[in-house]
Amino acid sequence: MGSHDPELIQRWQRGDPSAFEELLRQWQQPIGRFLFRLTGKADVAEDLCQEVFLRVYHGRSRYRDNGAFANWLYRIALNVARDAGRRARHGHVSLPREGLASEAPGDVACQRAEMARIVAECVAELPEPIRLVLVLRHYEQMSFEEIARLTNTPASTLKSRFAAALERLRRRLQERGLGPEETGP
Amino acid sequence: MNCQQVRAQLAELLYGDVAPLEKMEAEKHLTCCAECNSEYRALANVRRLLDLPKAPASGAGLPGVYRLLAERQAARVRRWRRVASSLGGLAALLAVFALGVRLEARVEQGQFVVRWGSPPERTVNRQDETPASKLFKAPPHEPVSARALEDQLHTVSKILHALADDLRELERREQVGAADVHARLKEIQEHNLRRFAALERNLEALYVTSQKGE
Repeated sequence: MGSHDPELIQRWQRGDPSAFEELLRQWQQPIGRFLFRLTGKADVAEDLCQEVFLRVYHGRSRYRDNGAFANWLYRIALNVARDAGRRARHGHVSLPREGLASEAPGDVACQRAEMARIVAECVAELPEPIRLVLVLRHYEQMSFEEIARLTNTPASTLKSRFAAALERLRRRLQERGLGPEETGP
Repeated sequence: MNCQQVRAQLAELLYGDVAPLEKMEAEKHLTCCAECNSEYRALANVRRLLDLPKAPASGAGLPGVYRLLAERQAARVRRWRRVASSLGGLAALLAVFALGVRLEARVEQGQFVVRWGSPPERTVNRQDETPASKLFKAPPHEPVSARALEDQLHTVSKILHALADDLRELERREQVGAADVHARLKEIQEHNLRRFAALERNLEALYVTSQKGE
């Protein structure tokens, strides 16, 4: 997880608005990306990112500076994403089922974009607990120990979930025409 | 290492989360087991595909956060206002009810008594009076007088006024907070406008220079 500037954190905790703005500038991209990976939707991720920094704004008195600002921030983002997931559970959007093979071949860039779309959809289809581990380990490149601290889950459980996520993805991608044979080395 | 042990570790092996000795043994197994090797390559393909979707370069945006903050604070002020007016209305209703029906509440002979309207006439049967009861006659228990009732209502009214004052103070603080946020938002907007104007000027200057060059 990224480093943090203790002086900046202290200024923010004293109520300096410019310190909050600096923190937001530093962290909005990583948190925005993390939320996008979790939700699979750019517009939703942007709204959730605003909600995260709103909670950060209100939560400065609750934060105890122990050098784990990134952890605290990611936990807020995770809670915001979970709350949004609960609210949106009834409005689940069904995803297209057809694979690449049934579509007309386009140029390489188009094909890559299409593959990227399918991968993002398959990731978004994963159940929340295993999707979270996948996003944190693969995209955020956190170690299992860091993820364990963030989610209060034993590292051994996280490792099983991670293996399950990769396995499910492998099968789902294969169903949609993105197996190792179709996509090449 | 056998197939089962290796397969349980494929994901960790792929991401380098296995101890060096175990890694060496697993890799040795993969070179001689075609099935495990195929599983490993399938997972490696998943890992490669996961890097295809690029996250858009979008974040919260400072004006967006401040706008959301201002909206939430305004909503909170509205909520407090509704609560304060509801409480005031309830207090007024209670006061009118209590005055109108001469509500009386007290503990009498170990029982909680609520009474409204005029107090009942006390009838004393003189035949029941014994000499002793005449001698040791307890003073008649008077119901709460109108004056006492007024005092009680006055106290209730004071409490309600204090509550309303508290609510007003909270509302005032919320408004101050909202004003701060608005000011900050305006500052950011002005800053952005200035940057935009400077950008326009630079573009104009560039255009003029390029025209001269031609």
